Amino acid sequence: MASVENTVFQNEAVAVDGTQFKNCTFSNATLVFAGGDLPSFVDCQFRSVALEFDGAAVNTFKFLTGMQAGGFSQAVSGILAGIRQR
Amino acid sequence: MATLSNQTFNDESIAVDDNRYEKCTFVNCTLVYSGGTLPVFADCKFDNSTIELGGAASNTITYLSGMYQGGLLTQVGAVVKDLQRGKLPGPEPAVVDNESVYTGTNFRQLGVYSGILVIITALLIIAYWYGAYWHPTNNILGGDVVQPLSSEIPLELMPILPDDLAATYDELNDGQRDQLAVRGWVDESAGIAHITIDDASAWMVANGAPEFAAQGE
Repeated sequence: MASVENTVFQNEAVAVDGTQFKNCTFSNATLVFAGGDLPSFVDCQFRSVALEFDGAAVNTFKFLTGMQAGGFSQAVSGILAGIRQR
Repeated sequence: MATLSNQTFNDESIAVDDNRYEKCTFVNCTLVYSGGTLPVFADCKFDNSTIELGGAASNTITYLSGMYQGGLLTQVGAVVKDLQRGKLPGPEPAVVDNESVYTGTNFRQLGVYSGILVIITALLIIAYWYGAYWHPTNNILGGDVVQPLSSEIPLELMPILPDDLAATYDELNDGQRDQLAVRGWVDESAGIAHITIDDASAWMVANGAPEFAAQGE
């Protein structure tokens, strides 16, 4: 896993797959996840960030919305509900 | 992409990535998707079957959950909301700035509020002018209302003063001062004279204050 430390990301898109971010600041940045290895954020700060998705992540969303329309709404709802369980 | 047609799957866990299923039946099955090429289901039947995510697809859900727990509640919430509505999350979901919200410029609203402020200020100025100059009144709590002098004493009853009041006063004043500075007769036949202030002062110092007879004696 790649490691990035003590870096400020400002006004840019950052590919986060498989990267450990330590003591970084994301200001007005876009975090792009493509379904790869999960990133890690340690002691990081987020200010005005947006989430963007690519590759397998987008495919996942397409699969879920497609199956939801195809009769699997209950199963899809269950998966989505699990995201916001703290 | 592999194509499977007219098949029945019972009690199975099926990896569906990159497969095309035509006229297939899935009974009590788990369809496992891992984020690869999207499967196609054409004229298929599903009986008591469910879906499961693996690989990159599972990573995606785990990532969202992690970001939500990390504090990006609004951003992740927006993604989930879109998916629940059956739409793909936008390429750039709204950026939420928790510290401030850019509202742009609204000159029309600014003009309206400025106009209201000007009107209120003008009304206050008019009210002050009315109360202080045009119709001033002094109201003492519990006391009589004091009207302007012009309404308390009718104009026709006010004493008529000469136009050259100042000159008249100066002339009278000068005459009286001259009279006090010289000796002369007030009524010679009656033996009444006037003396100067200095004479009177000296006489009083020497003789004391004079006694005047009461009127009628």
